[in-house]
Amino acid sequence: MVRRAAVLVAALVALLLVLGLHGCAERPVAPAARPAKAPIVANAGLPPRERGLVLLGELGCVACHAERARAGEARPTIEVAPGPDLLAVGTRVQTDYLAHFLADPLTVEAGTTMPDLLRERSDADRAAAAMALAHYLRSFSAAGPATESSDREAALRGREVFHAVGCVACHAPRDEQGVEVSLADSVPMAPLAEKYTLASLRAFLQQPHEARPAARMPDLHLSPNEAHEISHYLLQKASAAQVAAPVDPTQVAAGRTLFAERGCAQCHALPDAQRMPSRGGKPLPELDASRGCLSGEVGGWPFYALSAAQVQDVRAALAAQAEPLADEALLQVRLVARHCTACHTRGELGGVVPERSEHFLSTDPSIGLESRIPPTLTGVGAKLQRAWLEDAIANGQAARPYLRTRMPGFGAACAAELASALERTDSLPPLSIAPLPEDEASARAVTDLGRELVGDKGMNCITCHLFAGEKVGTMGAIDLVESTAQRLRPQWFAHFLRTPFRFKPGTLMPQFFPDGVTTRPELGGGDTTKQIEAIWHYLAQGRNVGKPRGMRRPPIELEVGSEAVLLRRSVQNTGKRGISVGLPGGVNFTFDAERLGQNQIWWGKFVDASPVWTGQGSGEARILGKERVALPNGPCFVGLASADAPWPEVSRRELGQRFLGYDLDAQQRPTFRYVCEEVEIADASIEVPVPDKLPRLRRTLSFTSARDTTLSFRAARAAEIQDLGGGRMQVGKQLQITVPAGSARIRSAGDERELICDLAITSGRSELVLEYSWQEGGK
Amino acid sequence: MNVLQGSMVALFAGAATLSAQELGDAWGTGRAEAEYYRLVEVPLPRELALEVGSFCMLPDGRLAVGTRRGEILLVSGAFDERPAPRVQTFASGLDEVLGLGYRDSAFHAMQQTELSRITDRDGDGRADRFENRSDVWGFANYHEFAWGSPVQPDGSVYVVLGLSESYHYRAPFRGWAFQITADGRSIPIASGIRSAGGVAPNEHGVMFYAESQGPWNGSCSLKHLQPGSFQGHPISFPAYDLPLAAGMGKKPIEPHSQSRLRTECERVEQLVPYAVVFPYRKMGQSITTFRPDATNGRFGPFAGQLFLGDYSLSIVMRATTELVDGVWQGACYPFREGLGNGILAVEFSPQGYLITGGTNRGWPVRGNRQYVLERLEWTGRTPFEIERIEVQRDGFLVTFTLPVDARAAVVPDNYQVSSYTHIYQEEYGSPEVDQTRPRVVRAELQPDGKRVHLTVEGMVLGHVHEFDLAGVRSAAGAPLLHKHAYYTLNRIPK
Repeated sequence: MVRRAAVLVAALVALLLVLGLHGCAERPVAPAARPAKAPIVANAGLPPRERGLVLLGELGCVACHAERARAGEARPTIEVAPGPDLLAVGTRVQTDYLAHFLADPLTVEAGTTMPDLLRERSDADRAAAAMALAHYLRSFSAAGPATESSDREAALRGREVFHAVGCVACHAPRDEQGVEVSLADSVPMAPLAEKYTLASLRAFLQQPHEARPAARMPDLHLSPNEAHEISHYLLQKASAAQVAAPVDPTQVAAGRTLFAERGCAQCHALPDAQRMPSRGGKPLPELDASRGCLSGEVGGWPFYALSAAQVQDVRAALAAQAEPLADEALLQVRLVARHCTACHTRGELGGVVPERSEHFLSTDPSIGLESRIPPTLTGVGAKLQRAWLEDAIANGQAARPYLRTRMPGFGAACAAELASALERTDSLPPLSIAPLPEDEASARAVTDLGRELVGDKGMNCITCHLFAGEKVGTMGAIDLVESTAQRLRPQWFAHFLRTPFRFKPGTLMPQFFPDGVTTRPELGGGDTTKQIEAIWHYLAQGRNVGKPRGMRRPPIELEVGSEAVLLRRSVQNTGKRGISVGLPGGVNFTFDAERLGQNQIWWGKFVDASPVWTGQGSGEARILGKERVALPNGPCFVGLASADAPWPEVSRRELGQRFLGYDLDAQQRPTFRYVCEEVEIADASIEVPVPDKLPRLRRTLSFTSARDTTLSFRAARAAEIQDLGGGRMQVGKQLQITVPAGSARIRSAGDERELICDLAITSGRSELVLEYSWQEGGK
Repeated sequence: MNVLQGSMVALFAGAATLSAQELGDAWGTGRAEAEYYRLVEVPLPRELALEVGSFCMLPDGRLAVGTRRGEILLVSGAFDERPAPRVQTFASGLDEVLGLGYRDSAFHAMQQTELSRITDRDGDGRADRFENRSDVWGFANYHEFAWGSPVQPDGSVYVVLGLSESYHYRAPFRGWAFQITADGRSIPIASGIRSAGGVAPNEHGVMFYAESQGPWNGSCSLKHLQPGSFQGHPISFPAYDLPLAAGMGKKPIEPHSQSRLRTECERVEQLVPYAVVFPYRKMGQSITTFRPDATNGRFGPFAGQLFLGDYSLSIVMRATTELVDGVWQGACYPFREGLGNGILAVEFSPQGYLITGGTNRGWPVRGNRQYVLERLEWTGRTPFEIERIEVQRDGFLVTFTLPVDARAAVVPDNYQVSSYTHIYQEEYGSPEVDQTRPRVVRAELQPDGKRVHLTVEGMVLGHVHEFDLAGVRSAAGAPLLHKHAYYTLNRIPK
């Protein structure tokens, strides 16, 4: 109670602090002196010109100032990143926030790349203009953002999800109180609680590219639950949903005019906003880099509050416009602009910064650093097959399930260009993998060699790597089967196996071919090239691949607790209609629903279901207990013509016997029901604990008949059956069956003996109770 | 066991020398499809090894799942906007539940060896009575997959029984279909089945089943389970001599191998042609259970059509059927790829979600997830698609989901049609053979702007007519999300 109060006080203090700070920021200031933070555009690690190119794209400069293509260069150097979609902004963003933001974007969302388009106006003018724009934007939506009630549990889970899936690779992580930790280059977030509702933030997180077609915020493919949890985490301090003022037609008209006049449509397409070509600035090559947006002055242009360094970078880019730009340099501009380098390195560029490293987590730390830090992009264009790479960029396809940080999707639009740039830029020295021989026998010899090398008697790759989803050792490194054929270029594979450390410094992958010499000279003639080719061709079979040596099918033991467990499936010594029953206490039996009777009893553990539950299920459930006794095959109940008549060895179907099914009692123990000679039989077995000994099995056979009749029951057949008196019968060496005294007889059947109960069934109900016990070590 | 392994080797002979292309190329439309149909994973309890074999919706809105591991699981919350399901085990210990129906407080579960009626008599939420409804067929091998339909309005359940090891007749009635009536009679209704992938009514309420390519089946197909019919695989003929089959009449004459199905239909009186052929690899490799979309448009523009999955390729496809001159035929269309594992079952929820599930063990499957439950949701956007193709006296009527560009729509060359059939033979599968190029001579846009009447010269009976409509554009200028459709032509209306 005391602790809870303390937490509450702490939360209140934090809340007041936040509110207080926020209040400060809103204090009115004179337009000229209005403080504004420079836009945050991460471009660390790049030379000045490339930094400038990133800025020219990310700040939307080329939306007004067209780039002129360089000689011999078809593609633009600078990408036009379209601004957020505004058609649905009214259902996404609270109208009051829109007005607030548009009046002073650089303060309300410090660090935003959105310029202030009303900078030169007076405070009153700005507020009025922003309100008109907000009404105009709101007019495209029938209703404002949907609302929902807060979910504290979800918020708690959301903290974990937010910090683990990759949000904090670009955004600031948050401390225990939910306050952003100040880290350089963090992509700023708007004051979310003002801007979104829980429902609209969730919708945005689930499909960020709908709202932001430039896809600078990638799609982390959050599940509906994850998006829910993150939105509740980020909006814990959400104010109550605002009731927006109704849309005012006069304001809408004024807003429409402003929207066109101020050039908003250059970045934000709207169906009825007229693009104003006249508004489009001079093309980039004709710009005077000392004036307008770059002058630092307030005037009739978008105001960006660029830092001195940013101005210099942009000027450097403008000055070098006519100079050639290397493919690699342009590629780096793209990778930085899209924040790829927040997680990945490319040469010296980018990578996880130390301050964010703690948020890059793994589900399998035994794989080392590679288990939590995303892979490098150095040489990736020569490593991954084109289609795979494109899919990775577009949709976040990934091969490393142990990385908690997700590879997000950046959309199809940029994937093709990026993938082709990577492909064009990266190459490896020639080293090929010969195609698989045409004739089947030779091809088989190659893949067999590969199989041997991958297996535990070869290079034992499977001890660290997953193999088609299965794990042999304790490590689950990248899946050999899933990650090879459709993903890797064979040439890269050939290089990588020779010198893995060159591609991944610090990898745990050992060198199996030091100095190009195989460590398994006894296989495939000890030829390195042949061995590597064999491994490739073996793994390239994909999901059809035969398992290597050393892959064991893990057993699926069905454990019996306080309730009985049933398995209706082929089991050892029984046909397809076996129903195996594990009773509590360690006595088990199989009822054969085809033969209509028990055909085996065993003591100890129940069964391993893996032979029937893995692969195609072609096997038989394996009995795990050791003390098994077989009961006779053939029908259990028949009407014998005479006491000496041989037991009929025919199927129950020929005798017209029917299986009705079974009922379960409260402990899930079955009572089997079947019909023999028009007598309905209920057959129930339960465990009877015996102190210090294996439990006995008590079997109660209940008969319901419409008439008086006789029925014979064959309880056992064995080489040796001995009457021990008092109804105790020794069957073979180790099974003892107890029947009501005087109810059973022993007779010969060929070389064997049969234990038979002749039952006089009276109309109505009658019963026979037997007990089966296992004699330790025999008698 | 030896025999069995031998047959597996035969089934996958040559697989070792094939590359990963064994499963064929993807359609490559997954990214675009996601804009219209979102694939949402329904999270499962961590410890649950869910191997979906069948689905059925319960009257209280819960989803019942029959599994390959023999459970009947009751799932609540799978259709919440943010799925956070609770899973309760209703029954366990069954044998591959590949058909599940529910009626009058009882489940009807098709297991490999019997159709069972399963009830909870004491109302504690767990099954306690398991009644054998029918087990009149025989069993020889694990590879005798048996599928059951939903419970029909008259209380019947239809079951189809795969051949032993999918090739042989080693036990009574392998390769047959039965109607199990409400009063417990087991009535044989069809012979000649190979290895089914599902049985259910089509979108017109007529009982169909999904058949796999293999001997006597050039490609996968949906077939009409016409009472008294022979479905094409003659190895199941011995059962005509069993007393239970008396109502099926006399044994059909043996079909000729290396023939064409259409030719043999002329000779073999009881032989029913496939209604919808799914050309191998282009449209699946192991088609499975199908369900009509009865959600009145909540699932988008394909209300009333059949949706079905494929085990090998982890895809969902659409199909439409029509009865022409007493014979069923129709078309299939690509729909959505990129599902998590091999799809064995699909089911619509009343909210308009298509839930999908399956496994990925035993045979090659494109989706690599071992245990996964997914649902497809319509995003509310209408994709530009071929909504359906229907046969006409002189050609075909193509309906699109959106108005088409009027200029492109009337250019006959924008409708490329090719035709082919398969060899009807004892050997496994068939290449596409007897190719022709039927010619679209006129394309007339109908007043609704969405339908185009094609006048076609050279339609071929018994052939799949493959459409490539790459040239057609929507009124808004968009290309088709999927440009292909495949119509199986058994009859031309008079």
